[in-house]
Amino acid sequence: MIAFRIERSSGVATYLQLVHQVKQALLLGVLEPGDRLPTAKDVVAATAINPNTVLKAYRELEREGLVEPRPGLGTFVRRSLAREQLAPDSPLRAELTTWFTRARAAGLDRDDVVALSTALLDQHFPPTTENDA
Amino acid sequence: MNETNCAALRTDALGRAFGRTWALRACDLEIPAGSVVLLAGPNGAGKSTLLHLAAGLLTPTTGHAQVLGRTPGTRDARARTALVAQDKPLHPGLTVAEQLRAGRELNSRWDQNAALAVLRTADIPPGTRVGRLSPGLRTRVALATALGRRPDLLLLDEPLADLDPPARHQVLGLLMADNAERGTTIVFSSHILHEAEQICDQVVLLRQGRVRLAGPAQPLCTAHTAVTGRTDRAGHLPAALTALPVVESSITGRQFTALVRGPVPPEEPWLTRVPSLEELLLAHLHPTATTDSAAAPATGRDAA
Amino acid sequence: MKGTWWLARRQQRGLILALLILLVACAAWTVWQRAAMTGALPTTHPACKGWNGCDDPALRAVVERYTGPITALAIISTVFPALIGMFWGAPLLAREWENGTYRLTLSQEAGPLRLLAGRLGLAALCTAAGAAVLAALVAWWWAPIANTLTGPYWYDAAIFNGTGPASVTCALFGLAAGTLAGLLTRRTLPAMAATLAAVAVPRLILQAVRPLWIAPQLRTSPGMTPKQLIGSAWSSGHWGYLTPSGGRADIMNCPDSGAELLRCMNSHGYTGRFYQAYPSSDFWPLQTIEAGIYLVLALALTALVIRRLRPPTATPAPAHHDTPVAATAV
Repeated sequence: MIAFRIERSSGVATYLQLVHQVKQALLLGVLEPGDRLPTAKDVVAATAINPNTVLKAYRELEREGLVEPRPGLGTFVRRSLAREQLAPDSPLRAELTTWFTRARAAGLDRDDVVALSTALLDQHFPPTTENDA
Repeated sequence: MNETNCAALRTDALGRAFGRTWALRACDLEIPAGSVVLLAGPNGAGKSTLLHLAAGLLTPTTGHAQVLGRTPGTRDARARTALVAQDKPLHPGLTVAEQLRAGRELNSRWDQNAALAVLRTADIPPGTRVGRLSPGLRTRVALATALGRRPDLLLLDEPLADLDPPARHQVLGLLMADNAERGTTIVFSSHILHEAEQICDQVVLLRQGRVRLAGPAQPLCTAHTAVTGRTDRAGHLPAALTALPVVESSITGRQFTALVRGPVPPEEPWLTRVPSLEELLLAHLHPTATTDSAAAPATGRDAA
Repeated sequence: MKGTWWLARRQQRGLILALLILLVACAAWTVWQRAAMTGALPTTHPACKGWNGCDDPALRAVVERYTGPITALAIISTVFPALIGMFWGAPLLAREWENGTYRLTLSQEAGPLRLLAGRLGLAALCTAAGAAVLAALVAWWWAPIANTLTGPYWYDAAIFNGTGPASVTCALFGLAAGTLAGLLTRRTLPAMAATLAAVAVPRLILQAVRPLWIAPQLRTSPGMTPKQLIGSAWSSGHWGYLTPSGGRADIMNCPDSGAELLRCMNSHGYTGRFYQAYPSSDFWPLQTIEAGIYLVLALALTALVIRRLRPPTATPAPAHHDTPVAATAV
């Protein structure tokens, strides 16, 4: 299951916030194929938004092929966005953990690490124009 | 449940006068069943009058209203309509439990669990006398007696006014859940536009007893443009702007901001965007907003 | 109906309790006082009814001792309709407007008329029962010394208004008047004042016109034969002399007694004397007439309450936008 949080002052349309949060949950493996999304009633009871907003978000996710409605049962996750490499026990993640440990031992603080990793990130993954994923 | 072919609330040339003063007049609305409607407007705009007419507690001076295809106040209409008036009236001598029992005794569709669900959002001892409740708890008990009746049309006059932000969130959540589950049409008046924006899909804006704006929320927003630009040399609004149907505008230094009905010419060097519902309503509620009725084509009937 | 009955009981339980306390207090006092009274009555107490009854000093002492208390109870019973109207009828609906709860009450599925039926029905039941108990207490206490010597007589205002069926229907009229006043003024206090006036005025009028409903008995005595004793009858205040032609002459024509009177009557040629009075058996026809009047008034006022509270019933056909409203009435 997944609990939605609405940022009212973010300027992002509410239904898009729901879409993003589902995708994030899929990326992190919080949601897996076959999982049921919360019903519109449950979502609106917790978030106090209009039910149509939830339905619109779910339709958008359905359009992208991520979820499918099963009449009378609910809306279910069809496929995952999570990759093996992102899982908690992946080798890549273990290497990065090691690197962070060494950086701390070398006396870098949080800002240093952010600055360094952002610089390298931009170098290896040049920023593209803002996309809606 | 709701007949889909039948509006939850329909008014034809509805008007109501108190003595010589018209509280509401020439009101034409058609609210589709299942919608969540924000009834906005300044104090004295006729919001409560409209809600009381819909609940059958007032009779029209002109025209007529229908709720769920029935005349307000008839038995069929009463069975399916619930009103929570602004002062949250409850029988002061009854305890909370007895107030709910009264709801059960007087309504064939009563659902105790639906009522208790509202009370569970706060710690309300069932033995407390209703007259001793704080305004926030009183609102919840009033909502419980309304939701317990399982109405198809729920009329709420300022339901959020006495609630703190967490309580507003809880109560709105309950209302939206009821709308999601049962398709309850909810018509609520509120001054808290910021929160209302998240939950309504229809808007009715009243001003001085007349419908100024009505229709589905999103199309109403996209039918307007928020414009920012530079004033002309004399420091006035550019002529190209004043030629447009401007709802409201203001000038700060060399900058003007305006809300315009419809699109603006793309060749003008202005920043444009779709206004939020709150911006749209505030612009129409602004004291200097144009009241030219010819520039206000969007009645509920046309927009719905 | 069952549902509105519950709410009516719950909302009126304070009033019902107050009424019970009043009735129990009155009953206890009556039982105690009446027992003392009958104990003090002479055991060889002959049937000494009427003004001219045997003048037994022991009996006279008892009558004089208990006239005041009995009249006091009868006055409580007499003002009971006004009390009911002011404290039960007036707030019955006015309170709904004062609390703003009329919007809650009238919009429930049960609707105004079923709520009224339960609420006013219960109030009427309690009112009738309370008035009947008070009337019965007055009658029961009064009976042993009824119409005796200088004691309370059936036609005294307190006794006539405080007993009998008219006192019950008058209380129902008070309730209906209070209810209507509350509905019209929407405020309890002005409704109470209006109710007091609405109950007092008919009471005073009926008190004044009571002798007009039925004709009194004409009691004549020829010549100088002694007049028929007035007994427990109610004098209409008309008396005088009979002329040979069968006509009547004013009493002031011969304001004398004894030999003077005989001489005066002979000089006028009067053949006898007469007076008019209502026998005590007229209590029942007069009570029936007033009970009927109050009942009709109570029903009429209740009908006005219903008329004013009645919700719309017809569902007009959905009219087209520009159709005149009058044309859509079904």
